Amino acid sequence: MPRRGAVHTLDAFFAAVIILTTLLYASQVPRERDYEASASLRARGLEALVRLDGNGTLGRLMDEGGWDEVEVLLRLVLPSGVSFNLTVLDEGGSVVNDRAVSSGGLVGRTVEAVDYLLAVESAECPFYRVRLQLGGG
Amino acid sequence: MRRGRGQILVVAALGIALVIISTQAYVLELNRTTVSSDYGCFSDHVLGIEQGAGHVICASLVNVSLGGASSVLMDNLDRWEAFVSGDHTFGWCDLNATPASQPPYTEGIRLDWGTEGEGVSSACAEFTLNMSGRGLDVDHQFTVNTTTLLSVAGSYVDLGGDAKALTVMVELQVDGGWALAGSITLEYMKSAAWTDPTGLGSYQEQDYGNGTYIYTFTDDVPGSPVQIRAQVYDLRGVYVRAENSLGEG
Repeated sequence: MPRRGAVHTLDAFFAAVIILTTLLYASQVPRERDYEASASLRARGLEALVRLDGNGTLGRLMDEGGWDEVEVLLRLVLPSGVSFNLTVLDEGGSVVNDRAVSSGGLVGRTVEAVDYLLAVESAECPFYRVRLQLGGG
Repeated sequence: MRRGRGQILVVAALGIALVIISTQAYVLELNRTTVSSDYGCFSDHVLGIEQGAGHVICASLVNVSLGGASSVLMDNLDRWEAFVSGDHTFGWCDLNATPASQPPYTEGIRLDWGTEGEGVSSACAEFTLNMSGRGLDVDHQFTVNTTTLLSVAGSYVDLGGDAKALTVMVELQVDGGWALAGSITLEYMKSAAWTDPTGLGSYQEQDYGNGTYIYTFTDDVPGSPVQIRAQVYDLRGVYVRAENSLGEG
């Protein structure tokens, strides 16, 4: 009889340990994941373009054909491990960039694309549709 | 029967643990997909359209301040409306722009290059952005106003005869904050003609690096007061001009 009681006590102890461990694990998991860690490629790309266009730099460089500078800026702004390929279209839909603006090809399990509408702060005020393809994951 | 009671207890505990972990994982996944990514993309998309509207206003002001027709602003806004409305990334999109028409604005433009020491080049328009479809129904209104303000002031010291030592202070503000100038051309009226002081041996220029520029020079300038004029291009290319009359001080 005392042996059976000891077994029951052990069972109850194991059950309590399981419940407590689960509760402890659940409380350790962050309730909100870090945005940077969970942001999609699309969100990262759009954020990068909005940031570069903030003071009109992106538009000015594209208007002047400064594709090398645009490529360097994108390399700086996008996280490492994210590959990109940029295409710029004018109002008529013709491709404007006369050379590839790319990190060297899209690499990664996931490939996403984002479109950004851009106006240039110059007297002629041209508009461009910027298509940024991103690879990563 | 009694033997199995303890095992049931352990299995029940495992079941409860499974339910807790599943619920936690579900809530996490829901947060990740709904809040972070999609909302961020949409916010940045709207922000991009607002930024573009700002660039259109600024580009139009550059054009008009350099002598272009004031209708350029409306033409550019019409083009931007059509360009944005053709984008369906987040569903149906409609942008409407209305240039400011209340004085001192005409067709959204204000060019007030005064002779009282202050010059203003400004453009203003109101926008309404409607987006609907794909689970969205957004009605967003915003105003874009870009202003370049130039102030010119100073005084001179009479050195005897027509000789005068002039001190001129030029200050530039863009959208309410002190801003560096792209270029400044300072002139003073001498013998009924605008004269460039940079060739004078006494000419000195001091850039304070915060949008304030001080110029000093000495020359024979008959009469009083002395008329001065500053023509400035800000770093965006917007042109503004201001004149003032310098008294002895």
